[in-house]
Amino acid sequence: MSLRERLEQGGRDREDAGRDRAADETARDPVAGEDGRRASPQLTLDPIACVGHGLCAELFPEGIVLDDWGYPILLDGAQDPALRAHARRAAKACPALALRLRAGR
Amino acid sequence: MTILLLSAAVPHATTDLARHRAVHGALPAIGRRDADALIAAVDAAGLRGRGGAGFPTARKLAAVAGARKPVVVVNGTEGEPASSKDRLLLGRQPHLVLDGAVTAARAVGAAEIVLVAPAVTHAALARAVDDRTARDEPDVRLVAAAEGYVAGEETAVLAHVEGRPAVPRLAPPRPAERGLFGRPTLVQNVETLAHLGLIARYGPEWFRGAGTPERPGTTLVSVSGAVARRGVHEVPVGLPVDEVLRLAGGPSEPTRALLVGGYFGAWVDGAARPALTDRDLRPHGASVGAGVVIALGATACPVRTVARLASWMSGQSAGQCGSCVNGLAAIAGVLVRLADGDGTPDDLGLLTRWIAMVDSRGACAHPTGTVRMIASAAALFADELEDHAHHGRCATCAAAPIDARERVAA
Repeated sequence: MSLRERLEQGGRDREDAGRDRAADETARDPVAGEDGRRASPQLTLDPIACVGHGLCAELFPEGIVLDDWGYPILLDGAQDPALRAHARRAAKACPALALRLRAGR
Repeated sequence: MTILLLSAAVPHATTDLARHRAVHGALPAIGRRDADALIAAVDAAGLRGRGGAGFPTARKLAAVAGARKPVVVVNGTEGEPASSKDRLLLGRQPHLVLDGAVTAARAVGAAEIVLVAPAVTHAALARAVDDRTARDEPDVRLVAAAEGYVAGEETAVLAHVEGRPAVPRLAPPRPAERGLFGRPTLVQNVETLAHLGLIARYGPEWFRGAGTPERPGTTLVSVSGAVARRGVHEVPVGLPVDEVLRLAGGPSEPTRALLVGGYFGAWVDGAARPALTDRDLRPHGASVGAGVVIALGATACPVRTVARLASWMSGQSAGQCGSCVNGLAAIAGVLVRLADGDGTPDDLGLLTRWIAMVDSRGACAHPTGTVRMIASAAALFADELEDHAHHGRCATCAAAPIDARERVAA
């Protein structure tokens, strides 16, 4: 594959991911938004606090993968309500307190 | 040519308040009750931030207006190496910037203004501040700007004023919610405030007399690279980029590409020549940003140029986020390897992999802005990158690329 093809493929993947995420958010949180009702909790990462222990990816591989340098990337699955218990366990295990499960805003 | 900020009637530095008033008239009195009308006027004018992000100014004002003990921070840090318009404006029209800061302070109900500007501008700025003896004007405190690319990011500016290292923090909370020492804070770019000072006098319709309906007004552009004369020019938003280059004396050699917006910007093909407005630049992945236009001449190697830009931006990381520290260093390493002729076709795969991996991570825009600039380069210069990966250094490699540390002479 040429560099140009690779870049185009990468761009499509990113766009698809964005679309999927947007679709997921509306499907999952119909009440989220400006009407003041609470959205479901979100798993959030503070990338400054994170020092790359990597426990989160061990405990919650459905929602978190590590990049090539050992730092976590949150996948769409990280916000899946069905996996909330795993998300909570990963957040509790984070030694840097960088990973948190927060009430939706 | 429409000249608004850099008024033709004021050819030299106007640190003298009487001369400034002679040109622009007095700043209209703005009472507490006028604040809403003023914000509505800024909204009607369609003014957007000129620091790079292009956020609507009226929304920023509204977010702070009426909050408890707000403060206004004028951001003249200008960490973007290819930009020198804020320094120029502070030196030539300090009262216009101060007018804007006072107007903004009145619109949001702030009693204090902190002016963050390079130390070299302080002597003139201090004289300008001293000139303004109106009792009802907020106090202005001068703070020497910190050095470095990320030092201009608004949360980094606040950290610096608070006496901490000038590095960004995770937002939200935005400065409007929790800013300087926890107070609601309006952070505005120097040029944005200069426009605001004029809108307060002449109104939104006057402002809309230049620019496009979507992006009204004029903007300062810093033009550098392969042009006859580097410098800062005031242009109506939407001016064709050829015209912008013409103001700089035209290209000094055939233009291979333009880096538009700044080091967070995007590379545009030299043959494309869009108008300098977001609508025209969007298909190229670019925006007007901080008004930077850098011409890359046909005699320079794009791979080497991008490698040097990437290396410099990697070195400017605040060093706080793993994806930025490691990702930008890895990407710069691959690009330098390719530029030096030591790369392999596999490096192209690593480049695209890491661009995608770093995008949208990090606490601030530094890693994302940098990899998007590099992604635009990789798309535009794909042939040159392939050539370097397969055949080593190219014929144009010997030519001097853009010096990533250079500043445009004002």
